[in-house]
Amino acid sequence: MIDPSWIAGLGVILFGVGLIGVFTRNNAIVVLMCIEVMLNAANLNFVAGTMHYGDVDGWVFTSIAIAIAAAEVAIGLAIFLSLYSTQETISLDDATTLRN
Amino acid sequence: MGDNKSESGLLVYIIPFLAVVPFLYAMGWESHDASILIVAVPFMTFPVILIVGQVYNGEEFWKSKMKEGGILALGALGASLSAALWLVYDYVDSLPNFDEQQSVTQWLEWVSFDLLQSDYTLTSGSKILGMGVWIDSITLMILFVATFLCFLICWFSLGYMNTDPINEDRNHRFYGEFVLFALGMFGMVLADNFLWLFIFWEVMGLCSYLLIGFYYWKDSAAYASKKAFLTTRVGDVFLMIGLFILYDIYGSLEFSVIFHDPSLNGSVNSDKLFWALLMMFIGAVGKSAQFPLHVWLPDAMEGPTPVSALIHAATMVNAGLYLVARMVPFVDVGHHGVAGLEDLGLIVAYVGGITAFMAAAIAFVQNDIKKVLAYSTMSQLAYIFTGLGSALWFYNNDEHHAAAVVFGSSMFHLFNHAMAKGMLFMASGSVIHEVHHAHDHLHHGHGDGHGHDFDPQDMRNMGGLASKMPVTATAMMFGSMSIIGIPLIGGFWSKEGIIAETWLAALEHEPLMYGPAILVLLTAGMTGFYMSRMWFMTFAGVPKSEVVEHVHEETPWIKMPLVVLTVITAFGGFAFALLGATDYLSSAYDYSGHLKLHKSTLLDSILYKLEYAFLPEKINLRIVGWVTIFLSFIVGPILAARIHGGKLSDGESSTPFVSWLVSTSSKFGKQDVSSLSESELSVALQNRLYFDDLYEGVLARTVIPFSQFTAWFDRNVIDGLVKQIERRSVSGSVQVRRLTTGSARDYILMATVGMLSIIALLWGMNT
Amino acid sequence: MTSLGQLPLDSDTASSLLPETMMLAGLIAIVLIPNLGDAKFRIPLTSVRVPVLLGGSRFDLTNDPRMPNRISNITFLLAFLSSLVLISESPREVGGVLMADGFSRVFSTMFLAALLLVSVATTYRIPAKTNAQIPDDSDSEAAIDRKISVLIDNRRQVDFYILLIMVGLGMSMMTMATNLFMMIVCIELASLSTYVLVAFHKESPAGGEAGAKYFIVGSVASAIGIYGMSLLYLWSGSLDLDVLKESWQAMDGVDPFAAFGIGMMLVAFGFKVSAAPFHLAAPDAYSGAASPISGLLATASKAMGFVALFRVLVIITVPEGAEALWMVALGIFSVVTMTWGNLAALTSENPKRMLAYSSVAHAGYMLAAIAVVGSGISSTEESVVILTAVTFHLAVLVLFKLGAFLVISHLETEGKGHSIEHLHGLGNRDPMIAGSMFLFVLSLAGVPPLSGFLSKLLMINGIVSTSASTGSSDTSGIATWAESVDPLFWLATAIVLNSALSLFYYLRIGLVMFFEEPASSKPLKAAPSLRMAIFACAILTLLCGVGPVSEWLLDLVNGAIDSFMHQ
Repeated sequence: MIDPSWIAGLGVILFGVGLIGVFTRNNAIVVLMCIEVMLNAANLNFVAGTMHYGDVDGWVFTSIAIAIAAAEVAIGLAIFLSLYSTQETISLDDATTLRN
Repeated sequence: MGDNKSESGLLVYIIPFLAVVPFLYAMGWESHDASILIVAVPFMTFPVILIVGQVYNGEEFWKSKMKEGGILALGALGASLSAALWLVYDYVDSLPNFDEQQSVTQWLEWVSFDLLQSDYTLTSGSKILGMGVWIDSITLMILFVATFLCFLICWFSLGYMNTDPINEDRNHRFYGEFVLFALGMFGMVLADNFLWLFIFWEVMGLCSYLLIGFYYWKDSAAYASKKAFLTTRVGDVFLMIGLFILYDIYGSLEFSVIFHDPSLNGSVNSDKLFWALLMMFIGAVGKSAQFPLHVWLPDAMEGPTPVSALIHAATMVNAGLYLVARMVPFVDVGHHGVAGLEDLGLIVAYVGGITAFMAAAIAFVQNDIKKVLAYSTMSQLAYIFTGLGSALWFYNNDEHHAAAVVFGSSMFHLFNHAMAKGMLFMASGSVIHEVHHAHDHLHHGHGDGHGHDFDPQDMRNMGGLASKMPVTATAMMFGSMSIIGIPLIGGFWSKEGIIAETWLAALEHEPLMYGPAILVLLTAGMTGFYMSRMWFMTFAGVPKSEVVEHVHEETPWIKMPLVVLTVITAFGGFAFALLGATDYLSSAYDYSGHLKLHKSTLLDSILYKLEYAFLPEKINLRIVGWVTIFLSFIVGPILAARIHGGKLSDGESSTPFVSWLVSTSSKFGKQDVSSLSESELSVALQNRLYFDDLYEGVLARTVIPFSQFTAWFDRNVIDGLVKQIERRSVSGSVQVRRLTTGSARDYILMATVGMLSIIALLWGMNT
Repeated sequence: MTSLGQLPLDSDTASSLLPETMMLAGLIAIVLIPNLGDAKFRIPLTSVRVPVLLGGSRFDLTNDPRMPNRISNITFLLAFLSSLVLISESPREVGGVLMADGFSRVFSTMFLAALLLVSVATTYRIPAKTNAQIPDDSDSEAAIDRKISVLIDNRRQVDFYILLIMVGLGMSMMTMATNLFMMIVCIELASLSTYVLVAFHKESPAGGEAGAKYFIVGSVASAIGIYGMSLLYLWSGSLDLDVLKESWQAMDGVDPFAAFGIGMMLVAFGFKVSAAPFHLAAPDAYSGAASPISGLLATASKAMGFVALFRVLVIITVPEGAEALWMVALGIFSVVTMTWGNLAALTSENPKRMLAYSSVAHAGYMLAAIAVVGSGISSTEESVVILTAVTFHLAVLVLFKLGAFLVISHLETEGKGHSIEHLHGLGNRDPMIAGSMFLFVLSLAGVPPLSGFLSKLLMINGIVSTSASTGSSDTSGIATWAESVDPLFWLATAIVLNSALSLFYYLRIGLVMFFEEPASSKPLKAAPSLRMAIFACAILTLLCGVGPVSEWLLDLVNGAIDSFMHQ
């Protein structure tokens, strides 16, 4: 069995990847994907915690977190669609009519 | 009552006001409970007049039926007068004994001004701002004088103000401020503690400023109102300091607390109390226009004449006297007073004596009828101050009998002077008004431009008015006689007492009292001169200008107050004096009752009074009395008659008394004094002894550079700092807003930076 | 954690969830009722048609476009009232993860009040299409019908209020959460709904953009928060608040998992309360969203963030009589936040952005107060006073911040409100509305005797009374005292200076409303329910500043915080 600390370590890397992704990428969809990566890093931590403590709570958390992520994706895509339909772009650097 | 048939009907509108007090009486109220109305009714009326006047300005009903608020003001003052009369009626015979609670009723129990403590609990229990009514003979007398004169002067104003086109559509302001002023005076007299006394005192100061500056578009009026306000403010600052010290000594400003035992069982330091009282006295000096804070009063004549009558003769200037009269318990060693305050009495007497003499001297050369009256007011108030000073001195030396006599005389003089001077001002207003009216009428064809060099207040333009204005001439004659102190009339009874007792103090006790004593004696003669001069210049001789020949007494509302006050001046003073007014008024501080000067029967009382006036037991007082009479009755008027007297034009006549006086005045010969008026002394007097120049010079060297410096400081340092902050903030704001780039990527970057710094702070600070 | 699986079946437990149950019922009603029609279902193979009532052509009553709004109004009103009634009920645990007590009820009442105001104010306020117009009194019958049918056309009325009720459910539940994960889930429920509400004007470029930015930044913040929470789980093995508290107290030194976890959760909640530098999306979102929604974000959503902060910071991590881990960080961030907000608001030409920045500044004031609680020098009583002040401030913010946004919303009825010039001469056009707006900005500035003054006074008073006593009392001069006083004192100074700075832009609003000439002197469009909401806010802003109402509210909040601190 894999040591939980390896799982948590993978989580740290995933979180870093996601975090760097969200402010380096310009495309809203890619940013959304990066957010998913960050949430999955949290999920890995929960799983690792469950393994470590022998407690089922972490699994529950993980499944609910996945549900949250799914809802977020649904809402995010809907909002990006409406952004695209009015401004014809989903580039975060271009959608800057509201500023200052 | 109405002088004009078409306008007397307007009095219907004041009936509801007058019905208030009878209604409350029928409801079973006590007079002291209703005394709140004396203040409350004007308090509710003045905003109504101002607001309604502003809204309905110029509308027909407001103008002709309400007289632009005048009727409302008259009603409110009528209600106050009726409540005051009820109070006087109830208490005139049976004053509460001093040692009982004289503060008969509490109007406002304000505990809500308690401080919020740090533990959010209210400190309660101590009454900080409650107000009640303090009733003694002085209160009753001044309250009667104030309410009565306010009512009459308001009546007079209906004629005087509303017929002058220059006041058109502005009178609501006049009446509103008038009523507010009256409220201040009534409240001040009724207040049962020094704090409320001070508050109402300031209300009067404010209204005085507003009313003097009623013609604010005239530079002279604006200047005069500022001068009056600032000069009295100087006094007020001292008064405030005095009250602070007083509070420090007694821990309260309630009369009932302080007067119960002013020496606090002998523990009060007389030096400290002396300074408190002296500071308060300086406040009184400012308010009552005494030397050296007298400079505002003559200029204050820029206000409308009813204002002069109201504020600067009948009521407000008496506030200072009232304050000094309230100092008696502090010094009355017969009743827990603090010994060692004789100096206060001396200072008061000296200020009075100097002012009396100086003002009378300046009045010699004034040609403006109102200015003469203004200086006369100063001089007469100074008499009262001299009397009060002597009274304070006597009280402090346990000379109770003399103290009571001179104190009563002073208060009685206040009464006589207020009545006479109120009437004189109204009479002078009548003269000015009619002359002005005649002038407008005469020069109607020439347009307005020609009339500006004609001064309707200048007595050199008058003369011979006795036949044109018989009622006014008669009124003014009696008023002048009362001020002069012609035997048996009004002011004689009171002035006699002041002069005699001041001399008594000088002769038998304190040589320093000779100063004020000699000054007031000389002033008596001078008063005889300048008052007679004013009357002769105005009413005797032949008209000195074309305008005066066309004068008629025709304005409604004006005559009634003159007639009423003439009667009071001519007979009231006499009657009250013989009934023992002096003794009654001094009874306020007659704690034990054994000093009662009342005689057992009316006849005894009259005989006693006559004896006291004309044949006092002490021979030196007898001499002083007769010298006074000689100077004021014989020397002054005859000199005036020699210079200014003269027959009326042929075929003109007036009322019998006036006609006799005028024709007598022509029998003393004629003296030309034009060379005398060129003299240095005369020039100095005409320039009011250069006091104004002196003050302005001092101000120009001290206050003005200081205010210029503060203005510079404000503009460059404070404003500069504010502007700098503003500029910096605005540029900072632009910079900060630039950080909100609009790109979500930047926002996330910033949030990440924030996250890292939070973690750095959490981690870094704790390891 | 006790078991998540227990269902709250007994009636007592159910009654303590009455407001939430009502919102759930309202949610079902708002989905079903507008769809009621004469649809029939033919049983297969027979000719029997059973009416199913859903679908078909709608009944007149249910077809009314105002119906969703009415349902939502009734739902929120009932939920608000029941929450108010339950305020003084004794605490009751529900299902192991929820705790209905005075603290949670005070906040849920606050949220429901805000939602009720928004719901009432948005009657007729959500155009279904860009060309849709609101029925006007001057229109003919036919025109009204046509406009209403445009409004009802694509059911967006229903969508809007469904989302609003979802926000209510999420917020109300999160106040009760005793489990960190439950709290985050509830916050997500509310947040995800608000993202959609911000983007609700999908036809306008601003709506989509505002929603997108708010969504992206918000999601990143909550992803960071969830990751932080997972670290806490790794560290402690449970996310129950009590367990976390015990673990924290038992912690020897500072565990990196715990420190990182708390720090990352602060990011998520910092975004919710719009603390700098996580606030940057907020002004954009506020200016792109409909004003009532902006008001909701600035009040209820912010208060939700503060509840989370209370739970995480005050309950878990405040040691007895010692400085909390986060005290310095929070102090610094609070000063940055208030200064940033006020500076940015100073030159904002868009009143909605100005109000957004002012909301950032207010978050700074409240964070400063919380920092003092964590300083370790405040006694429990002083902490109660300070937290009472913060909660009271959050409660009255619902009145005057939301009220100000509602006034802007009134301007939006004529397509304006996004520039300060649109406020010019409002005093001439509509003195009542302008007067209310003036009251709101004065209260925001903290002018006595309005409620904004009272709350700010209590806050500053709490900070000063806690910190000033640390200054040595036997000093000879100010300078030595200033050196010896605890640095927290300067937080109070920062609040005062910032308040002074903020007066500039608040008073500017009053100035332009009363002293500038309006572009048109037409009266504002009629919007009776919106006006009613504005006036209610204005009157309560006054009443909560001084007098019995303010005392009642203060007592209520004080009791709730007292029990919260002593649980």
